[in-house]
Amino acid sequence: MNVEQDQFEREVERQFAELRDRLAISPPDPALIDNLGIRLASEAARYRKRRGRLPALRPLLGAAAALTLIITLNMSAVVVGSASSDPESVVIDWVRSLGDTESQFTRLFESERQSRNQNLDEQSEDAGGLFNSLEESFESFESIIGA
Amino acid sequence: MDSDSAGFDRMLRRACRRDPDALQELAIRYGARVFGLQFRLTGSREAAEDLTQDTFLRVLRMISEYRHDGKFEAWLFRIAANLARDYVRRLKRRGPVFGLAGGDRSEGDCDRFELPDHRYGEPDRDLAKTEANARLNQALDEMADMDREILLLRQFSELPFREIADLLDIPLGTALARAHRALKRLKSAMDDEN
Repeated sequence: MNVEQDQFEREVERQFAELRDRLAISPPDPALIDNLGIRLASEAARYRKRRGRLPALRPLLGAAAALTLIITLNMSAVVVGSASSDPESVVIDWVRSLGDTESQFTRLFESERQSRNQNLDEQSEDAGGLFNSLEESFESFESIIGA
Repeated sequence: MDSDSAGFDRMLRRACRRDPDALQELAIRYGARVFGLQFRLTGSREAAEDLTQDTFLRVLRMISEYRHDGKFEAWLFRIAANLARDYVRRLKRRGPVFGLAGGDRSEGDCDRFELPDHRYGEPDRDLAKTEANARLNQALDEMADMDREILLLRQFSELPFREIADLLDIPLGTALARAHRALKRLKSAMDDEN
């Protein structure tokens, strides 16, 4: 411990003690603190409510993300493929294409449901099939490069 | 850990879970001191009221990041000082301001002078008080921002200088030297009035 610094600290504290009353201010309006407490309590309640809802929404987040992706892809496909450069026509084409989006979303949802229902045997069978096809690909690659 | 600090720690943990009663307790315990710091740093009662509210709303949002290392006051007053500093910077960018070194008074925004209420007599004493306040404010205004902040943090956070140095991320020697300079200036302003 630095003795000089300790002494200096004590000296500054002493000087501060002499002047601290000068720096004091009259207290704020009590209503400010009351209102602050009320606002905090209500914000905290809102925060807790929001947090409580999140776990319930979590399963839907994946579906919402998929839907957003499909709509975005569809929109860009329509914009790129649209015969007209008129923004209004592009939007009309996009709205028409939403019918396709709905069927795509249904297919996506259905396939997701089916994959959940698959039993473990089926999954391992799929994994085995995937492994075999990868092995075949490597073999053909090796024959091409003459290994 | 004594029973007081154990109780305080329990209250902080409840506040971390956004318990409304615990947060209200924090506002009651620290509201006036946070207000005091922000009032002296900004020179505006109105701004200090808004900033005090902002400080506690930020506490509500960020309290899960607090590490329960027994330094809640340092954590809270760092938020308060940062908000006041940002406010003053924004104000400085907008133009000259009373309450900052070398500035002019900006109407309606600054009331660091608390004018006395003359309805209850003793105008001479009130006048002297106003003059003393004016000197104090001028001395505060003429200080370097960091000197003023260290002094006011010592006053309102009630933290020792070494914790204020940690809070501001500066060496203790620097904090002490700046506080010493600020106090000297303040003392000289107060001596001039006698």
